[in-house]
Amino acid sequence: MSEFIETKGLKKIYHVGGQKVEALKGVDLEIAKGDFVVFMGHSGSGKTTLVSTIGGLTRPTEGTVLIEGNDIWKLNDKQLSHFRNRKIGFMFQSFSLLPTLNVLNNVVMPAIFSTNSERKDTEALKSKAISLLTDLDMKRKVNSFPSELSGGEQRRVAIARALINDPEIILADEPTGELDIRTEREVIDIFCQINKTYQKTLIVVSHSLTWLEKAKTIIVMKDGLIFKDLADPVEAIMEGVCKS
Amino acid sequence: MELIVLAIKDIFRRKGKSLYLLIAIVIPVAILSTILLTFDNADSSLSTLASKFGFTLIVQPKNIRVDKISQIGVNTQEYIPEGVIADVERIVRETIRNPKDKVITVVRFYQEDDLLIGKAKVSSVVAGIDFKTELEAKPSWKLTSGRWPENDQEAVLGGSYASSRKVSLQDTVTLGGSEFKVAGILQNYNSSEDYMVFAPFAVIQKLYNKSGFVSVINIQNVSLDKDKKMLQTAVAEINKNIPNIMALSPQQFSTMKYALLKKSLKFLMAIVVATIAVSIFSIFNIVTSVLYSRIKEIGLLKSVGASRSQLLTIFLSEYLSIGLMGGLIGYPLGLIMTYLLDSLLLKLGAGIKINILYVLVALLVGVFCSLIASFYPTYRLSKIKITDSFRSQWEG
Ligand SMILES: Nc1ncnc2c1ncn2[C@@H]1O[C@H](COP(=O)(O)OP(=O)(O)O)[C@@H](O)[C@H]1O
Ligand SMILES: [Mg+2]
Repeated sequence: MSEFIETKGLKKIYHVGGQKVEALKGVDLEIAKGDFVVFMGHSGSGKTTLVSTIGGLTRPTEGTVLIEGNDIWKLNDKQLSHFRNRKIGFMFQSFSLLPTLNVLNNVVMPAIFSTNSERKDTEALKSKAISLLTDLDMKRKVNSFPSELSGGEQRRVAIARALINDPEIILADEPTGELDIRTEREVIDIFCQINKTYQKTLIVVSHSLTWLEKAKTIIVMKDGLIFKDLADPVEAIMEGVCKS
Repeated sequence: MELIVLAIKDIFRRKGKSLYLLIAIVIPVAILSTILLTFDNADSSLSTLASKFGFTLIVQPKNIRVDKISQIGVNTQEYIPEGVIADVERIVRETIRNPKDKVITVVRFYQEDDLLIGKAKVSSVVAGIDFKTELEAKPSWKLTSGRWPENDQEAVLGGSYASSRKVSLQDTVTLGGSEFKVAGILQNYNSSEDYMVFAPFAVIQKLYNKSGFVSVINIQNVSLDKDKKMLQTAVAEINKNIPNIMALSPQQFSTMKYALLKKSLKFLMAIVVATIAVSIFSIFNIVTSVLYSRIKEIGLLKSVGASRSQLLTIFLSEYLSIGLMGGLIGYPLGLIMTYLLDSLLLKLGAGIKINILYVLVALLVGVFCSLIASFYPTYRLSKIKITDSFRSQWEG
C-alpha cells in the first residue's frame, strides 16, 4: 500500500536566462492522510517548488508525485484542473482573492470551475459557504469586497474558499507571512481545527516558529533536498536551518 | 455564478481599458458602416432617380461629365443642334419598326441665370419646356396650386423653389430682362426639378440667344421600355450615326454614375483595411498589457481548478462582448456619419435606414477585430505556469 501522498526522485530544474537552477534535487517523501506537515527551511531551499509540485501547480522535471497511488503529472490539463479543483485547497501568501467578487462569491468561486453536477446547486453551495464563513467568524462580511477586509479577514476568506469543495488536502504556502503575531495565532488555530474536525491533510510552508508547536510533522528543506525529519522542533532550531 | 459573470465583472472593473478597447473597435466599424451605407444610398437613389425620370432614352451633348451633373439630362453648359431631333426620331422608329407604336419626343432647354424676385437676385436653373408634350409624356406631373401657363409670359415654379424663395402665385419673376408671372407651383418629386423655374420653350430659347439649340432630347416609347435589347440597339445606333451627342438610357446613366463611386471603392476599402489593422494592433497591445497585469489572477484561477479552456472562455467572452458592443455602437455611428456626409457633401438624399445585413457585418467586424487581436495573448497566458504567475507578481 502506498502512502496517501508520495514523491519519488522529484527533481525540478528552472532555466533562468541560460542558467540552470536546480530547485529540487531528488526529493523522496511520504505524507500520511490526516497529517499536519510544516515545511521549513531557508528561502530558496525549494519549499514552494516542492509544495506546488505536490499540488499540481508546477510540473517536475523528473520524478513522480503520487496521490492515493495516482501519478498526477500523467494527467492532461483538464484532468489536472479537475484534480486541483476537487482534491486540493490552496492558500497563498498574498494575492488570493478576486477583487471583483464579494466575500461570498470569492468563497464559491472554485465551484464555477468544477465540472461536477454539484455546482448546479447554487443555493446549497451558498449555504455551505455561509456556514464555513460563520465557522470562521466572518458571517458579517459576506457581502464585503476584499479591499474592505483586513489581512486576517482576507486569510479567513481564503481558508473558507480552500474548504468549499471539501478537498482532502490543504496546501498553504506561507499563509501567515504578512500577518502580525496575534492574527497569525488565530489563523493557525483555525488550521488546527480544520485538521482535527475535518480530518484534512495539511501541508504548510512557513518560516514562523509558531507553526512548529502545532505541527504533527516538521520537514526541513535545504538546497533542494529534505534535510532531516525532525520530530523535535527545538532540534530544528538548534540545527539552525530554520529562519527565525 | 457562471464564467461569463466573471468576464462581465472584469469589463466593468477595468472601465478605462475597456473603453479604450471599445473605441478601437468602434472606429473601423463606423467607417465601414458609413461606406457600406453610402454606397447603398447611392445605389438606391440612382435607381429611383432613373425610374422616376420616366423616359426611355435620352440624348444629351457628348462632353458633359456625368459626375458634374446632379440629374440625368440636366446640364446648362452644352447644347445640341435642333437638327439632331429628327435624326434621333428616325433612328428610333427604324429600330422599333412598328409605325403604330407612339414615340413621344420631349426636348428641353436649360439655362442657368440670376432671376430677379422683387429686387433680390436668385441664381436659378431655368428650363424651357413645351408644357403640352411634357404633360403627355408625364401625366403624373401635378401642380399643388395655380394652373399651367396659358401664354408666353407665364412660368411654373418647382415646389421647393417657390417655398424656399417665398414666391407665390401671381408674383412676377424676371428672367433675362423679361417678366414672367407665376401661374402655377409644382408638386415636389424629390428631384432637381423641385428647384427649377419652367417657362415656355421657344421664349426661353430666344431669350438666351440660343435659337436652334436644345439641351436634351428625351424619348418615350413603350416597345423600347419593354425590350431592353432593342433599347440598347437604339442607343448604339444613335451614338454611331450622330456626332457630338451621347444617347443613353436612364438605367445606363445610373450605372455610369455608380461606376465613378465604384472606382473610389477600392481606395475606401483600403482605408477600412488600414483602420482594421490599426485597431487589431492596438487591441493586441491593450489586451497584452491587461492580461499581464492579470497574471496573478490567472494563476489564482488556475490554482482553484480553472482549466485552460475555461480560462479562454472567461477572457474570450470578455473580448467577445466588447467586440459585440463595438459593433452595436459602431453601426449607429456609421448611420449618423452617413447622414452627415450626405447632407453636407454627397446629397444623394439618404434616409436613415436600418439594414439588417450591415448590422450583422458591423457586429462581425467588431467581433473579428476583438477576437483576432486578443486570441494570441489570451491563449499564451492561459498556458502560463501557475507558480511563474505568482512569482512574476512578487518580483514586481
Ligand atoms: N518559477 C521559477 N523560475 C525560476 N527559478 C525559480 C522559480 N521558482 C523558484 N525558482 C528558484 O528555485 C529555487 C527554489 O525556490 P523556491 O522553491 O521558491 O524556494 P523557497 O520557497 O524555499 O523559498 C530558488 O533558487 C528560486 O530562485
Ligand atoms: Mg517560497
